[in-house]
Amino acid sequence: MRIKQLQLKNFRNYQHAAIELHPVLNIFVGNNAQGKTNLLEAMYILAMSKSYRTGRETELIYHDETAAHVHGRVERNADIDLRVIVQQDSPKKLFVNQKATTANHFVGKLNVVLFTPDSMQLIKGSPSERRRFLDIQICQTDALYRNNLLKFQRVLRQRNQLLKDAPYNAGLLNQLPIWDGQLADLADRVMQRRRAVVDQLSILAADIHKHITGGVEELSISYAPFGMDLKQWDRIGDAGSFGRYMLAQMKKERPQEVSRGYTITGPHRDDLFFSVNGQDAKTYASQGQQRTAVLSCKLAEMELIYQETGEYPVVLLDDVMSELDKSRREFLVELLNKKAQTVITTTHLGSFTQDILADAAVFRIDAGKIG
Amino acid sequence: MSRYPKPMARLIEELTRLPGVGPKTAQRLSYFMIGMSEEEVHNLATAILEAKQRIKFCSQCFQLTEEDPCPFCSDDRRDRTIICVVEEPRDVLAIERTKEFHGLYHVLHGAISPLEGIGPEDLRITELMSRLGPEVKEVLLATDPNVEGEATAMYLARLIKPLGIRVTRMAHGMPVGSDLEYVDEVTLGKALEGRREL
Repeated sequence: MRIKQLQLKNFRNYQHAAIELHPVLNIFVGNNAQGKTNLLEAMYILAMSKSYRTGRETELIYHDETAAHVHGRVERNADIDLRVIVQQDSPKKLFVNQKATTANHFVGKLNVVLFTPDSMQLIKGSPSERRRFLDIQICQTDALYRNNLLKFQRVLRQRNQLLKDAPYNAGLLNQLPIWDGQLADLADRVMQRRRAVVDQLSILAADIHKHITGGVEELSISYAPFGMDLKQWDRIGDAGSFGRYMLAQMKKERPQEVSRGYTITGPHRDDLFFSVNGQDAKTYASQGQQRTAVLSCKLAEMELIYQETGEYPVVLLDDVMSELDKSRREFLVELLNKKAQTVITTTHLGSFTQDILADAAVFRIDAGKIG
Repeated sequence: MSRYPKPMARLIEELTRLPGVGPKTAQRLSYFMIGMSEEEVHNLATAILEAKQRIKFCSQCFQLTEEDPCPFCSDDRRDRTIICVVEEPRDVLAIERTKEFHGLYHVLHGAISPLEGIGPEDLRITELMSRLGPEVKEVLLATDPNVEGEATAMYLARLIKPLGIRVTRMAHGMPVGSDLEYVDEVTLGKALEGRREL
């Protein structure tokens, strides 16, 4: 799949902008703070219905205007017209082929893989970064997972509210059982899917990583559910197993839950574990090794979306070329060229060979204008 | 708002309080009402006032009604062995339109939601329990299929089942008349889960 056109109106520092994208490679070049990343952000919003940079969506609206429009044309089997309107005073609107729709039907019409300098947090950051990575990946291609995840989060918040209020009103504890069943059931669905996806991702990432490092490094990614190792999971069986485990844990942990005011066990505390040559990547891998591991992981994400949908996602690379050495850069561009439409931001074209630039569109970005 | 004559500004402000009516719609409605004949305006005003004064909750099922008990509760032809429990008065009409249900109703007026501070004591649950006499054989829980509706159904099931009354829940499924390929994954997934033997 690829993005054919992108149009912006009153989005970030763009009053009006319209571009036709190259099917293979698009390079946005310009100085810092001119609006290169804003273009990637716009494309990301067309895929996920929301930004990765901010939770306050009114930030997306151009100074003093009332609404920001992001409009894209995506080529898949049939062309799809996607439009997002973020408004100052009323809720965001989403349209697929000019018809208003909900996020559940909007997300996944366009798939993207995003790689930014912040992606390093995937290894260095907190577990919540890794859960977010995993959820974004799965939600793009699995609407049922997205639905279960949102429901899980809602039940969790309801249950935590009860736990928080319980010290002032002990009678509330009698209401816990009406949430426990739902929470355990949804937790089980979320975790079964997460585990299956991590297993797939790990195989793909290991393969790519071996290739990039010339067979020197072995990358492994494994799923690390809270308070339980995977062998234990496998021992207790298959579908529903985590749900039963969680019900038992909630019963056991009730006193701690009440004193802390939140639910202790569950997928809201999941983590991923990265290792390079058998050692914990977070602690032992060098900066360069970590960067390569994240790159492998992102490329694996791309392959996974291909396996799920039969089409490669659009790859968005925000200012990452300068961080990679020459051989990794060439590996990356060559790999992407053959498969996915790629959009790159950079401050200078020096990192690209003439060969690469021959089959690419270069856009110069200057203070909210695209040249 | 100061640009408007005072009575007009007040009308706009009152209308803005209605659900789904923003400042622009309120302004349009106000201009329209000013343009209506005095008789039409009078009819509209009395209709609102009369509806407010004459509509009350049925003392048995808490449905909106003009007479108490409501036409459902006082209709002898309705099946008194089954009570359908819903969240809102409008749900009664939705089920009634199917013409498939002939029992009695009970309106809870909400669903349990700790985040909004709504507990079982804020709903018409005690009133429901007092209706469960020996003639009631089944309670159908038709609360919404979202997490709060499910939790409320679970709460009621735990209260009612020990009384030896059959407790049932609305099924999830495919919209009738739809082609499989056009049903969204979430609905289809639920329908698959709730499949039945033929």
